Amino acid sequence: MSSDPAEKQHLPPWLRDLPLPLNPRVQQPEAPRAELGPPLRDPNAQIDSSDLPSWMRDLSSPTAPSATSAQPKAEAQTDLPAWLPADPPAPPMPRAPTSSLPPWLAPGPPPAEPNGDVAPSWLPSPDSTTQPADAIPSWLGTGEGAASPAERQVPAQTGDDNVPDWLSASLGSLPTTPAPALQQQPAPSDTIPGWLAALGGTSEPAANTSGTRGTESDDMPGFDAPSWLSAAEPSAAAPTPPAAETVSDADALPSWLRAEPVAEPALPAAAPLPPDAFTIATSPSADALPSWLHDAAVAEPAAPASQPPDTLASPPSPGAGALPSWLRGDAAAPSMPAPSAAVGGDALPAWLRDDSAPQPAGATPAANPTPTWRRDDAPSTPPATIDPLPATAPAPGADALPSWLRDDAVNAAPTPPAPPAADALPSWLRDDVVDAAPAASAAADDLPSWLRDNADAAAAGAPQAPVASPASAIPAEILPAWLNDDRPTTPAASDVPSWLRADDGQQSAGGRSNANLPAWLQDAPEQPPTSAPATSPIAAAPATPASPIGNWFDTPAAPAAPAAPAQDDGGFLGATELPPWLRTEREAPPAAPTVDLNSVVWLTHSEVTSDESPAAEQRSQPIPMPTLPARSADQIAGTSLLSSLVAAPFPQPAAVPQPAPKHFIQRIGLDRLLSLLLLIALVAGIVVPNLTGSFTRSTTAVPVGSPTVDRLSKAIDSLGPNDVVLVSYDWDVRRIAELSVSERAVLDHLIAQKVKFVLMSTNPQGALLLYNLRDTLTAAGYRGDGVDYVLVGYRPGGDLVLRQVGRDLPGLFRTVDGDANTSQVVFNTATNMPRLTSVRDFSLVLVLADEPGFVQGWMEQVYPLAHTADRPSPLFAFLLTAETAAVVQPYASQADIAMMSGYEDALAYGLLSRAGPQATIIGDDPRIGIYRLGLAVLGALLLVGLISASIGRARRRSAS
Amino acid sequence: MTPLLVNGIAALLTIAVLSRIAGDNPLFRVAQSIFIGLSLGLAVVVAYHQLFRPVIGRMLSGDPLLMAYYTVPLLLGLLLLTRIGRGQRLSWLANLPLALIFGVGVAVAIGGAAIGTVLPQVLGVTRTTGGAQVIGTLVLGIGTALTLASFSYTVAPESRLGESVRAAARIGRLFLISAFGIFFAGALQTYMSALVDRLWFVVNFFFGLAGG
Repeated sequence: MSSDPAEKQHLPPWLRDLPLPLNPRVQQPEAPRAELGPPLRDPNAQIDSSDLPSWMRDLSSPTAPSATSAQPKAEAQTDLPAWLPADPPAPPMPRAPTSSLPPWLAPGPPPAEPNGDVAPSWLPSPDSTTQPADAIPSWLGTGEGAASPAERQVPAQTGDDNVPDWLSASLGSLPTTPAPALQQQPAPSDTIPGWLAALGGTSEPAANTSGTRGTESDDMPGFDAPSWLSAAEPSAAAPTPPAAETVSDADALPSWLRAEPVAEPALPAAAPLPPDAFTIATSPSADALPSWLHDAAVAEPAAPASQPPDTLASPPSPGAGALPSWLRGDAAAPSMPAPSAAVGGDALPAWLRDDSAPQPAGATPAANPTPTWRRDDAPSTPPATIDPLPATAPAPGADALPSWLRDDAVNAAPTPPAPPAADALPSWLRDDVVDAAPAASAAADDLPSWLRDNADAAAAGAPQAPVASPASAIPAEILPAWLNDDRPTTPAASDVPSWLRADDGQQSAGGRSNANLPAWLQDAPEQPPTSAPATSPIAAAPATPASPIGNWFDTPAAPAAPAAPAQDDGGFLGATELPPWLRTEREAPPAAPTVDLNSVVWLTHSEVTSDESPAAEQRSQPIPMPTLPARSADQIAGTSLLSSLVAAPFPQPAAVPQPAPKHFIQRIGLDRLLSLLLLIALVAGIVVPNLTGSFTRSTTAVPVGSPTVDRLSKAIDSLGPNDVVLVSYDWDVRRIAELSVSERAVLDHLIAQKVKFVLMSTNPQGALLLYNLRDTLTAAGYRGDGVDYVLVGYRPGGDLVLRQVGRDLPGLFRTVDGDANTSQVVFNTATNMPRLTSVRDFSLVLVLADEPGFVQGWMEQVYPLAHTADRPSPLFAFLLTAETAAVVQPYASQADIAMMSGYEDALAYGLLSRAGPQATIIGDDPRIGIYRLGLAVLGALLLVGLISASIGRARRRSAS
Repeated sequence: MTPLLVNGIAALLTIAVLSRIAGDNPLFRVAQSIFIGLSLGLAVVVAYHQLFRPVIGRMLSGDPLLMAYYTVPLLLGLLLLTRIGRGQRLSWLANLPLALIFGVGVAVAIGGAAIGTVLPQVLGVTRTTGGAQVIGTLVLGIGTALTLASFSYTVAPESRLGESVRAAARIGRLFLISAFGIFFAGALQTYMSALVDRLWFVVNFFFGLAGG
C-alpha cells in the first residue's frame, strides 16, 4: 500500500483516504509466473504489510511463498474441497499444489507472460510471498495449515473500510489463480462458506466443481465476510457432510443459507438431474431459502457444461432472476460455448480482467446489459490464449461444477477482447483500460502513480494482442456465479410476468416459440440477435439473448456498436438488486421500437379496459330512483288534472244550447221599457191635463220649501228703486227648465220692486242668458247704458274675477265699455258720490248657478269680503238647481245666505212673495203638475224595476 | 213664422236628443253635435264681443296708460299662441302666461278655500243654538270622521288601530251612500224638471201645429 498523498491526487476523492496498494513493481514479491494470473503476478511487487490495509496485508503476507504453489498435487489432495477430487483428471501441474488449489487452479496452463503489472498494485498477486496465510478467506482456505501458497493467492479480501462496496464484493470473492492441480483435491468443506461447502459436498463425486474458496484459513483476521458467513465457517471445516455441519450452525446463518446445505443433496454434476427431481430434493428446505436462492438451486442442474453452445445459449437460468444482482450475474449469464478456461476473464472483475488481458485496439464492446466497463471485460480474454487446454476438450471439472457454475463456464464463450468502456470505468481504472489500447498512452497522466506503472506496463505489452495467458485469466466458470457479474443478466422467472415465464421452457428448446407469445409479440418481427459489428467477436456468438423473453427484453444488448456509449453500471443504482429484467430495462438504451405499435393495441385496450373497468362498472350500476315524497290527495288530484290538461289542453267543444226565445220585455230591455213608460206618463200628463190636476191643486197652500225662501222673499220686498242688485248668471241653458222657474219668480219680484241691476256672468252661456234678461228688462221699462242697469257681461277668470269683484269693484266697472263707473247705476248723480265702491254697497247679490263651483267661488272670494262685523253685509241669494243645492248645502247655514232650488222652492217663493198674478201664474203652471206626476211615475218605475230585477236574479239562482 | 220655425227646430232637436232612449242613433249624434257647435260658437262670439273688441278699442284709443295697462296681458296672451303649429320650438313661451294663470289661480283658490270654506265649516259645526242642532252637529262631526275613515288606506289592517279604522270605515261608507243618494235625488229632480219642460214644449208645439 502506498500512503503517499502525491500518489493519490489522481484518485477519486473517496479513494484518497484509503491506503493505496503498493506499487506492484515494488511490493509484489517474486512469484512463479506460471502460477500467477496476469493481474496477480508481478515479480517486482513487494507488499509492505504495514502500508496495506488489513485485508490487503493478508494478501501480501509473505507467508505464502510462491513455491507452495508448486507443491505436489497429492499433498493438497486432502485439502481440496470435496468436490474437487472428483474433478476429472487434469494435466498434472508440477508447480501447482494441486492438493490445495481449486480445480480451476489445478490445470494450470503453461506459464504465461506475467501480466501482473496490469493488475492494480494493491491487488496482491497470488504468488506473492508476502501474503499471510490469514489473508485468504477462510472459506477459500483448505484448512488449518493446508492452504498452500498458491491457494493463499486468493484475491485480497476486501476490507469494508478500505474498499468500496462494489469493489469489496468483487475482491472478496476473487479466487486465486486457477490451478489445474487443485481439481483433484477437494477443498475442505470447513473452509468454504456453508453454501459453497454444501454445494461442494453434494458434488463430491464429481469433485472439481467450485472449490475456489477453499484455500482460506479460518483464522484470517482480515476476512470481512458477513457475520453469518463467518459463523458458518467453523461448521464448514468439519469433514463431516457439509449439510449436517451447516445445519448444526444454522443459527449463525440466515435462514436462506441455513437451508442451503440441506437443499443440496449429493448430486453428481456429471449426470444432471431433471429440474423437477432436484426441486423435489430441495423442497424440504425450500421454504427457508430466499426465493432467489431457491430458484437458483433449482436451476443449477439445468444444463450440463458439455451442452452444445447452441443449446446452452438459449436456456436461461431460471433462478438467476431471483438471485441478487451480484449473484444473478453469474446465474443468468447466457451460456457461451467456450472452454472453461476461457471464462477466466468473466470470473474476474472487469477492471481486473482488463488489466490482466490488455485488449486489442480494435476490439468492440460486448452487448451486455452489465456495465460496459465490466461487460467489456468479460470477453476480453480470448479463449485461445486463456485456456491452456484444448478448446475442444471439456472444461476441467465442468461436469463436477454446479450447473450455475457450468453456466458460467459455458457462458465463457470465446469472445474476443472488447475495448473497455472508458466512460463506465472509474477514472483510475479507466486508465488501465485505455492503456490496453495502442493509443491509450495519452491518458496515462491521469493515472495515479501506482497505476501509471501498470499503464506503462500495459503499454509495453499492448502490441501483444490478446496476451491474456491462461494463468492470467481467471476462469469465470470456476468462480462462483455471484462473481460473474459480467454475465448478461437473465430475467428471473419470478421477476418475469407469468405470461412471459411460461415461455421459458419453449425458449429453452431453442429459438423463440411464438405460440405462447402475445400476438403483438408473435407478429413482431423477429429481432435478429443483437449483433455487434463484424469486428466484435461477440457478434459471432451463436446466441446472445440474455433471456428467453422477447426481444424487447434483449434490447439492452442491441447497442453493440462500438460507438455506442457504455452503460454506466457504477451509477447510483448500479449496486442495487434490481430484478434483471428491470435492470435491463434501465440499462437499455432507447433503441428503436421493434414492436409494431399496432399490435400492441390489445394491450392498450386491455389497460384501458382495466383502468376504466371500475368506472364502467360504476356507470353500469343502475342509479337508484329517488324516493318520491308522499303526496297528498290534493296533490295527486292536481297532478292528474295537470296531466289531463297536458294530454287534452282543449276540451271538446260542447254543444251550445239554443238560447231560449227572449221575452218581449227581454228583447226591448227593462231599462228602456221603464224609460218609455216614464215618457208615456209624462206625455199623457201633458196631453191630458186632468191627469195632473191633483198634482196642481196645492198652489193656494203655503209650500213646504226651504226656510230661506221666506227670508229671500222678505228681503226682496224691502228693496226699492235706489237699491242696486248684483245679478250673476253662472248657469247655462242646460238647466233652463229648472232655473227658469226660480229666475222668473225672483227677477219678477225684483222688477216689481224697481231695483237697479248690475248684470254680469262668469260663464259664457250665462252671458247669452243675460241677453235674454235684457229683453225682459227692456220689456219692463228698464233703460240700458247704465241708467237702470249695467250690463258688465261675461268676465273670464272664474275666481280671479270674483276676487276682483270683492276687492276692486270699480276696476270691474272700468272694463265695461264707456266706463260704467260714470253710469247712473254706479255713480249717484244726486249726491255726486259713487254708489258702488265695493260688494257691500249692493242691496242684494243674486247668483244663479247650476254648479257647486260657482257657489264655492262666490262664497270663498266675495262673501268673506262682504261679510264683516262692522257693517251689515248684503244678502247672498243663490238660485240653484236641485242637483247643486244638495252639494252646497253647508254654505246655506252661514249668515246672510239664501238658497232656493227647483220647482218646489220656486212655487213656494211665489206663494210667499205674494207677488200678485206672478204667484198665481206659477201656481197654475201645469208643468208643476207634470213634474210631480213625473216624479211619482219615476218612483213607481224604480220600484217595478227593483222587483223585476229581484225576480230575475231569483230565477237565475234557481236555474243554476 | 219665425217663432214656428225656431220652435220647430227646437222641438226636432229635443226629439232627437230624446231618441237616445231607444239607443244610439244618428239623430241623437246630429243633435249632440249641433249643441256642441252652438255652444262653441256662442263662446267665440261672447269672447269677441266681451273681451277682444273692448280691449282692442281701448288700446287704440291713444291713451298710453290704457295701452300700457293692456299691453302686458296682450303680450302674455300672444305667448299662448306659440303652442300653435308643428314646430313647437317656441311653445315653452306659453309656459309663462300659463304659469302666471295657474299660479295666481291656485293661490287665489287656496286663500279663498281657507277663508270661505274650511273656516266657515268648522265654525258651523261648533255653532250650536239648540238641542236638535247639537244632535245635528254631533251627527255631522261623527259622519265626517267616519267618512274620512273610509278613505284611510295607510293603516295596517292587522293592527288594533287598523281594525278600528276598518270598523269606522264601514259606517263612513253608510254616510257616503246616504250622501250619494241625496245627490242623486237632487240630480233626478233637475233632470226631471228638464224633461218635463222639454216635453211640455214639444207637446205644446205639436198641439199648436195641430191647431191647438
